[in-house]
Amino acid sequence: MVKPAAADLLVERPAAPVRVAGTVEDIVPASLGPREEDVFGQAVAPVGAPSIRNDTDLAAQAAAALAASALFASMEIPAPNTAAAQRRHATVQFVDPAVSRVKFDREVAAFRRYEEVYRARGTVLINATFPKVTIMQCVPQLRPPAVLFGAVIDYTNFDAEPPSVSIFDPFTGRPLRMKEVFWPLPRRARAAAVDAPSSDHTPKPSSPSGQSDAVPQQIELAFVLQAWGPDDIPFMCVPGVREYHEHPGHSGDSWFRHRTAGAGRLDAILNIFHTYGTAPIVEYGVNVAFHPLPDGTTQVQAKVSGFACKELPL
Amino acid sequence: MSNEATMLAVGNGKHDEKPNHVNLTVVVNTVDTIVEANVNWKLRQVAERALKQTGTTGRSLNEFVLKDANGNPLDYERSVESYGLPSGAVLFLSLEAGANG
Repeated sequence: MVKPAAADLLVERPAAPVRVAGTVEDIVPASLGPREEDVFGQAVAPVGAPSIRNDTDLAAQAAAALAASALFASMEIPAPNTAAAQRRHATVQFVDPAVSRVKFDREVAAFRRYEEVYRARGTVLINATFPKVTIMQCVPQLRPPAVLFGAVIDYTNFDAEPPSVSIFDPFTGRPLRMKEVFWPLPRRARAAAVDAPSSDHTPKPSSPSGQSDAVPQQIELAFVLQAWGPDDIPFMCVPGVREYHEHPGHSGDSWFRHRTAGAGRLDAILNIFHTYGTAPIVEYGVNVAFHPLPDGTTQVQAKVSGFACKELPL
Repeated sequence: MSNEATMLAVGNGKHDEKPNHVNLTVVVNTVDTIVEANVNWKLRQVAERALKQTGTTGRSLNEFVLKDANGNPLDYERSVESYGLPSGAVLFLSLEAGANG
């Protein structure tokens, strides 16, 4: 299935598939221009997935794809100055700005007090101007050191609301899609014990105590950064982050359950970046391929494919 | 306390400490607090006192992780002395990620 233009369609996630008739220009007006913003609010050109653009070649390419496939309409990076963009970047400060600013300054001052410690853990402060803290998370123990991602922590309305955390490319300022995040902060997640299947595929009788035989608890891999799909913008799925509390799956976990415990504080967020991002990584993961050539020699190709890490934290 | 730790403590000018006590700076969610700890205390006691001093409520200690300045997690069940923590040492008590989904 071709996914021609998910990046550019400014539609809400529909409850049911919607069929749209018309030309590409009808669906995606050429006047929309660039469709993505970087974290600083500047329009940038998207990279990666093919997109419906206002130039002829790509429009024709997208039209062909439209004719042959369904169009996936999902919440993606909205166009600048649209209602969708305003909702995504909702920065209406309804808390007294003086209050939020004092709390923001307190977070930044605490960071600066131990800035060398944070830097040694791989967190480099790029900018701290109310209401946003922009950092770059690195892996200083590697040689050469690696950059995992940039992150913007937005303290608008803090702490009536939790901060928003967005992940971006620190070199371009462009928000990263899930598939572009090289290291989505993996962690171990305890899975529920499952019943061991019987060899003859018949249900196993319960034990005399009434409990079925179960295999020991299994360990599964999970990620702190999550998204609906590879083309979607990931969010940090931990309490104390605005995107977590706004997610419909977490409507029962109010921010006010976590507010006094330190969730959302700059140190708590940076600690998660360090715990699941920087700390477990011990070495580059390299794939090496050997290609015999006709002249009898061998061509060796090496490619960094990931990171080798020690035991992942829970 | 190790010799090295003692020397660091003297170097930090902590002459007025009680015997076998050290003053540890614990950063609880970006808030600093100084915990006067017996070297035989377990770090659990240090962390609990730090939470109390900073008025951090709503979560149990097990939902926090204690790290040294290098980012190494510290075991709550080990003593202050076993880590050779000198007066003036800075520890970071941060909220863990918790369950996600």
